[in-house]
Amino acid sequence: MTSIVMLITSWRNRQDNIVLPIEMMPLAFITLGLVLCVMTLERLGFILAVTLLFICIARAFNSKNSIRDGSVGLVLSISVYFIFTSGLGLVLPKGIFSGIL
Amino acid sequence: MDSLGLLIDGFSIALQWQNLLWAFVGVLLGTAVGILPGIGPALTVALLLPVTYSLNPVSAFIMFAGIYYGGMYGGSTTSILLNTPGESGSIITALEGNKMARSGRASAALATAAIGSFVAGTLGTIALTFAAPALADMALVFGPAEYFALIVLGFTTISSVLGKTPSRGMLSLFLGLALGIIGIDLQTGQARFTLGLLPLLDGIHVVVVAVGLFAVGETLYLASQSRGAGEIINIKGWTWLSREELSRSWKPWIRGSLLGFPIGGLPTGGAEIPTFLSYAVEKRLSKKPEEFGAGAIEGVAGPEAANNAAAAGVLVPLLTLGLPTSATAAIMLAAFQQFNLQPGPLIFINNPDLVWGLIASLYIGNLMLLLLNLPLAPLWARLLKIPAPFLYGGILVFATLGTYSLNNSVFDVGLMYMIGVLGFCMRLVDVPVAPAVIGMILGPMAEQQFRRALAISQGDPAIFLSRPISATLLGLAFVALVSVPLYRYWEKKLK
Repeated sequence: MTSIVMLITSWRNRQDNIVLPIEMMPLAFITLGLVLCVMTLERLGFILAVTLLFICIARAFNSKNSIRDGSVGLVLSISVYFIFTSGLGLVLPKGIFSGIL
Repeated sequence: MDSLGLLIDGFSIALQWQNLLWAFVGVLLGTAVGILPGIGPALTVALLLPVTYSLNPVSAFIMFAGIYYGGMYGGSTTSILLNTPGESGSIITALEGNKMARSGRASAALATAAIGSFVAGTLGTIALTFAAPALADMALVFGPAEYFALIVLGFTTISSVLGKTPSRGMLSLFLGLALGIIGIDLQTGQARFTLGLLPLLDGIHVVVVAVGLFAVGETLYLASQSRGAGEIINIKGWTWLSREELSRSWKPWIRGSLLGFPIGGLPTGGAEIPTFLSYAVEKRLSKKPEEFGAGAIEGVAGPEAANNAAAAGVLVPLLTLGLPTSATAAIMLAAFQQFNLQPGPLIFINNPDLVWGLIASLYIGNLMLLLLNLPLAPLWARLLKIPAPFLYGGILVFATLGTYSLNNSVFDVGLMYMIGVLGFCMRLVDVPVAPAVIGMILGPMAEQQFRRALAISQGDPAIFLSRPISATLLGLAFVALVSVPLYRYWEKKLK
């Protein structure tokens, strides 16, 4: 029943759909980051997967210097990792560092 | 015991040093996320849910309340200095506040907003102290039929109020309802809409949806818009309000509070309407109406007060009826459920420590926020200088962290990202995302109450209409549903 109502409401809304100016490149970068992150979260571990995500998002927001973004992202993800695992007792995937951490 | 005695007990809990610390952490975080564009209190509380699982519930709620109130204070700073409202309740503040800042009166605008928020927050909390127990007593007679009717009323008013058109709100609400029923049905054990996916059997956690819609959806939307960087206005010097400004501010503060609290407390919810109303009232009552649009201090003082008083008002139906009327309140309800607590009339009897500790901490939090915001506003404004790439990169890092730690599942993270893409599409066509979150929380509750009511009446649906309270509530819901289209129809006809 909900789907019928949804259909009706969206049907009534159909004329409002105006094509908006959307920039595709940033969207592509974010999507890339999200897909990469999901695929690597367990294999590479939280730290690296999230750093990759950080670089992609930064690039989507017109940042040109990926090496700088990468280092900021790495520092952020390492500190987040340690604060939340040792401080608050969460379990985050270690990935390739499972021998060291 | 009367409210006052219970409140004093509450203060003895809220004033314990670790609870003071949590309140401080809450208001600090709340102010920060209120100021930062793109994240708000709803998202922050959602992200903290998995992290606070091991915490004592009283401390957790004291922190959440701090975040909730803090977000309201912080939002005004962004509106005034950047002209992009940090959250929806401060849209109106941006109108006059930003004009004031442009003409070099940024500090006056920030001060009237902060003091107004404090006055209204305190007045609202006082009203909450006395209104909530009274309403809770009344709600004790509510049976499943009444609850179902109440939730239906909430659905119709929330979706017709939030968003540009009622149908858009409805669309979002039904999306939330659909997401809410995924999983094993608690009464029959049937798996519903799981598409054969095992992780979906437990249902989708509201945090996954909220974080996806708010964090990922918002990031995608902002990245896709070609925009010039907003101009941040620097605060020159820091002065107290002048005598004239003060005398022009105090009445709007009071009027704003009086408007904000009752409207926030109604099941219509949202802080937007009282701010609009307050602005209109101040414009009409002002001795200098020509200043409106060019930076009138009343136009900041009134709506800001209304905004904060409404925030206190929203807590009334949340605590007494378990009915959330804003996205943040919906997440707070999820937090209650996480700690196996059910807000409603009984929580005042069964968990007085929690409820009164929470209410007492609101007074304390408000005072902390005033002290934090008034002298330190220039410091907070620096948060606005965080470069966008780092800000949104960081938001997504925390979104991933929070979602993963819910169930330690990558599936949840992937699902959260997908819901984020959905949220982005909703933003593109102006469909508000808040009703989806509220619907997701309330949907299963409505269903449960509906079935219980039918079980009581042995399958006779007339129970919803034969009980006077439930019939009245359903009648109101119907009126709310048809009134907006009817009004538009008449408006057209008259032209």
